[in-house]
Amino acid sequence: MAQSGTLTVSNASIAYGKDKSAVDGVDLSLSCGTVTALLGPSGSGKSTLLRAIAGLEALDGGEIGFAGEVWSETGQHKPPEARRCGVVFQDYALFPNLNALDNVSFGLNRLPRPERRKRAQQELDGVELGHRAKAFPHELSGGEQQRVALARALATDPDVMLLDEPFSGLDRRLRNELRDTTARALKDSGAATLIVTHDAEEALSLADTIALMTDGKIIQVGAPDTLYLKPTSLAAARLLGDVEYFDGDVIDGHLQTPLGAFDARAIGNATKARALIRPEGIAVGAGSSGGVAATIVERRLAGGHARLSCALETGNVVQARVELTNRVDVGARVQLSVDAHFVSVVTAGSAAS
Amino acid sequence: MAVNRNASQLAPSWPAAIAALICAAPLITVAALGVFGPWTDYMAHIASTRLPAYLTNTAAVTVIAALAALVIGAPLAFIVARYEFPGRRAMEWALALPLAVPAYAAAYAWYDLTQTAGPMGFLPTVRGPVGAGLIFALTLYPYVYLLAREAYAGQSSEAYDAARTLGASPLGAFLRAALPLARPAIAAGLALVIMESLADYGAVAHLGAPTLSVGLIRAWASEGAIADAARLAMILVVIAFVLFAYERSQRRRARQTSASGRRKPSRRVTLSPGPGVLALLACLTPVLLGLVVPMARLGWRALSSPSNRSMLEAAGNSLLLATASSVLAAALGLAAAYALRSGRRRAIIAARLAGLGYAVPGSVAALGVLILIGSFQSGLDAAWTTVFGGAFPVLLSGGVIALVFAYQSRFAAAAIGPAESALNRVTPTLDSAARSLGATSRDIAWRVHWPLVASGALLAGLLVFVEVLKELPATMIMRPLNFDTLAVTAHNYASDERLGEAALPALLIVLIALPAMVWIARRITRSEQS
Amino acid sequence: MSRLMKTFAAFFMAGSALTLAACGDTGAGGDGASDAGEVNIYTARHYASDYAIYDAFTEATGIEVNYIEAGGDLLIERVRMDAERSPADIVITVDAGRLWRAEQAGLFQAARELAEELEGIPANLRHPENAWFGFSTRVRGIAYAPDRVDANTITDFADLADPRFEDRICVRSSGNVYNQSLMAALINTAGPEAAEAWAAGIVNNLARAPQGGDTDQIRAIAAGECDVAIVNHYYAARLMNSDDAADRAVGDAVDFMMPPVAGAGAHVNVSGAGLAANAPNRDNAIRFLEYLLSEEGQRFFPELTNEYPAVEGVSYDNAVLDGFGEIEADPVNVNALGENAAEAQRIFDRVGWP
Repeated sequence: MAQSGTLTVSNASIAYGKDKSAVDGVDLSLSCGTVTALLGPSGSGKSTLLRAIAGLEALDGGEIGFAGEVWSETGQHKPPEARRCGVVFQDYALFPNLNALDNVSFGLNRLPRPERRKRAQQELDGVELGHRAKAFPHELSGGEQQRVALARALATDPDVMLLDEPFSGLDRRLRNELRDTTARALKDSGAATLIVTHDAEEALSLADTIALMTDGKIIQVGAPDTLYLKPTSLAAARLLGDVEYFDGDVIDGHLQTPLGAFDARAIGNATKARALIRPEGIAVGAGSSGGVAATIVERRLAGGHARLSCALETGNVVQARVELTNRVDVGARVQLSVDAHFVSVVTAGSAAS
Repeated sequence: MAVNRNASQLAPSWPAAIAALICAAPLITVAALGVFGPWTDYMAHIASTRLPAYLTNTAAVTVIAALAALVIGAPLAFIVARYEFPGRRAMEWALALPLAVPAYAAAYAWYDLTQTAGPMGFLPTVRGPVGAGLIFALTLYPYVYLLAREAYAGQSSEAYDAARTLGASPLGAFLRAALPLARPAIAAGLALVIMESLADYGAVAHLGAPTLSVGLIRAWASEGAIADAARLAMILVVIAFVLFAYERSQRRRARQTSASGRRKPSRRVTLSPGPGVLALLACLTPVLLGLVVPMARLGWRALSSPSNRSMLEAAGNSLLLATASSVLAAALGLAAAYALRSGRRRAIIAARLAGLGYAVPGSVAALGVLILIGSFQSGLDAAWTTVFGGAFPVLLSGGVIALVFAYQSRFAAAAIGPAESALNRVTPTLDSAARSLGATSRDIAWRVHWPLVASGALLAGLLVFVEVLKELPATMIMRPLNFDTLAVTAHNYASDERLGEAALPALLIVLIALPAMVWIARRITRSEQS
Repeated sequence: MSRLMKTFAAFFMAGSALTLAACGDTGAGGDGASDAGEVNIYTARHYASDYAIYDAFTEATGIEVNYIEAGGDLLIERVRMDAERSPADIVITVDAGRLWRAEQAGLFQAARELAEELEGIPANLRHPENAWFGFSTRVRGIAYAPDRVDANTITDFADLADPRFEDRICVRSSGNVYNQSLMAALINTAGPEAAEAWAAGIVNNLARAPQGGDTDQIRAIAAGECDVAIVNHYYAARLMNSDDAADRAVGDAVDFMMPPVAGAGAHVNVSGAGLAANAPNRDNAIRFLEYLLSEEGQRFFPELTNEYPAVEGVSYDNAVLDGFGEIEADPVNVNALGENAAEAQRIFDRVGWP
């Protein structure tokens, strides 16, 4: 089993060209046995950070270390083969000239041959692909390729596992299935794991911790539900799902919005503040149930829920997410009430809009 | 070869097969000569005396040439495609230059330098099968380099990176992950190296490594046993055929499909100063050994005994022949590639036959063309007599057209390879997509295929351009009167042991080939960026 | 598809036009009598002396010289393929073997007009029926290091097979036509068995595997790799006459002798010419051959390429050739060398002379 330890990234920077930074002063730490998701839009620098941790990119500033040992800093670079990092690449990067078993045993070449094959077979069994050992990559389905890549990375018993968009090429149903297999395999390995993804659902369901990254910077780190419910910026909130927001001044410890007043005691009076509200926190009640009056202007289905566009009397239109059984038709007059658990009040302008 | 019966696919198999057959005709003529020519006891004599030695030498020379060309060409292609280091841009095209040096010229120069009395006599003398193999590697490795470089430029580095994260050292990752990925390209390059080594006469004769092609030239020279020479040539063809059949079957077994459809070429990794200088030195070494040193030796000899004949006309003739041949070769190469793509058996056989001409020594290939044109001429004469009376007004042999035709059959392999790999980029779905958008065959050819295969066709044309600049035996015998080329002039002097006078035309060949080489390298660089 | 065909057709037309342009007036014109201001020479030679002769001939007669240079074997095939359409007027090769084969293939006609000039050439240097004749000669001799070899101990080529020369001989590959010709002469004089025994002796005495050309064998003597080498006289002469100091040093380090072959005299081979059977410019060809055999024409060979003139009594200026002394030539008719060429190569093959 992997030893215990923490991978620490501190103030890491990587520049492309003269003044373009791909990674800009990033701090991050990964503990053994936990799964961290690095979530961000494409081009945010998350893959570059992953490659830097793997040793495939050199740092222009800052430091990466594991269990007290320096892996990367300016002018010093431990080569990837010496890092005990397992990587699952976005395109899996299976060796097309080797079959599944040989792909998995690639990293085990220090072991004697029979043992190497035994270990590789075990790893394949672990991802339920024992029966496909002799198949070449082009004979494997996308999902099978992904699992071979996972088994190959895990076979060397790495301290750190890095997965770059591991499910992006797969269809939705397969993705859900694989997520479970992958999560189990990663937990069993005990490695400090980083999964790079742009899919919020994937990050929320797989990770113990999520780090949000935009423009080369990490903007928030935390447990999935904390991040979802209490984002500290609009950008962070949007990375994890739909959000409604209202800006205003804090008066008497409250922020007044068209959907009501929210507690803003943590923010000083008279400062600009912003309320971030998840659509599922907006309850849609019958005309007399109390709350803010609104008219339904559109109803759409979205992934097992109904999404209602509600026009407020102030002219704002907000999205609410309700159960499908909540049959409200377009044109109906309703009352909106907000569950404070789904509201995060932040200082406006503290982070980029 | 997957037989594709997709109705929407554009694969003009008949014209392509005919084009390929035209290239294959001289080879077929030589084969027919071997089968139907008079049998003497020469084959029995040679089999009981020199044949085993010819065969061992042939094996040794080609294996050494192929291994050394692999060791030089493939890693440098990888370094140049993946890393940034001082001088990288210049090295990109400079590495291709030794291809412009005729192997016999390099052999004469290196032997002259390293023989015991020579200025580099402290080195082991470049001679025998090892020396000949190394000379071929030094002048032909650019085939491997160019094709491998194009392959690496189009691939992401993920396989190499994956190998590194799995504990492989840089060298291990290159050998175990990057090398296999470029395997089809490298194999195609090595095939050209091997064929040209098989066909060479001048270098092996001079360096005392008599291969099969020396043997068959002797059969012809000493006994006039043309049919026996043709039979020995067929052994070369069979060797080449078996080699390629094996290579293709291997390739099919582990098909080179990438794990997923998406590929993005990776950013170059900038090397720190130390390794950067090492990379530069690694790139400079083969250029020095294959081009600069032998050319400098010839140049130095040229200073001590300058040639007083003007090379201008010969240079013009070389340029004319090389240009005309390369344009036609690009077209025929593409046609043959289409024949291969069509999946039709007859078309494939024709194209494969056309490629084999490369393994036949030039003088034998020239003989095939001579015989072919001779019979064609008598047919024309007979027909003309019946209709108009008198002989056909044009004597075909000794014309530029006969010569260009001879080149096509000789260098078809160099043209087909790049065209074939370019056409591989055109997947059948592209044709289907274009058809569904209302494109006609003509639209598909010009708007879909051409943009994708243009670089391959260009590469094919330029390789033939350089080959024709260097070509000797066919040029010598097929050319019109008073029509000297640079290669002929260089060889005449060199074979008369007048290295100094051979130097100027040899240097001119390199100079004329230079823009072609730079163009090839640029083109590949551009396709890599797009 | 039709596009491809059109391109093809277009190229063919363009090519034909080129062909016509390139050989329009040298080609099929059968009526050589009309303006015939030219002569077409197919030659296996490519030496300075030849270009000088072409120029001098044109200067003197106004007749243009067109030439094509290629290996003798290929030249023979081309003339044969073109048959009566061949533009060739004169075929020149660098050894008697090829002339013999061309004559066997019926490519020559007798040049009776030259009877007088041919009288000046020793009978053994021309075809018995004058189908062809040698116009310059080369002697295959022995270069040696005077400090390591006592010249008096080599009185005949046969001596080189003696065990005392073990590991001391350099010679080029047996595929070389000069070696074949030497062997053909030996077969003629001593018979095939003795010739084979001699060849086996040489193979046994080789200092190194055959490599390089004749000049390289001489360099090897200078470098001490071997003590004797079998080379043509003009390669030695060229080094001794060289403008390059390093080359002249090599030349100075060796001496050259032309011992008899099995007692029959020195081995002489010829560059020879024949009048093509279908010569379209027969008259001009005769004039060229006349010029070739004139004193003026003959002088070019010794003075520009260190060859000996074939015509007897031609005076020339070449100190190195003079230094080689009188040649006591093997009286064998060089035609016999052609007849024995195949047997010579087989002997080489059998004794394993690479």
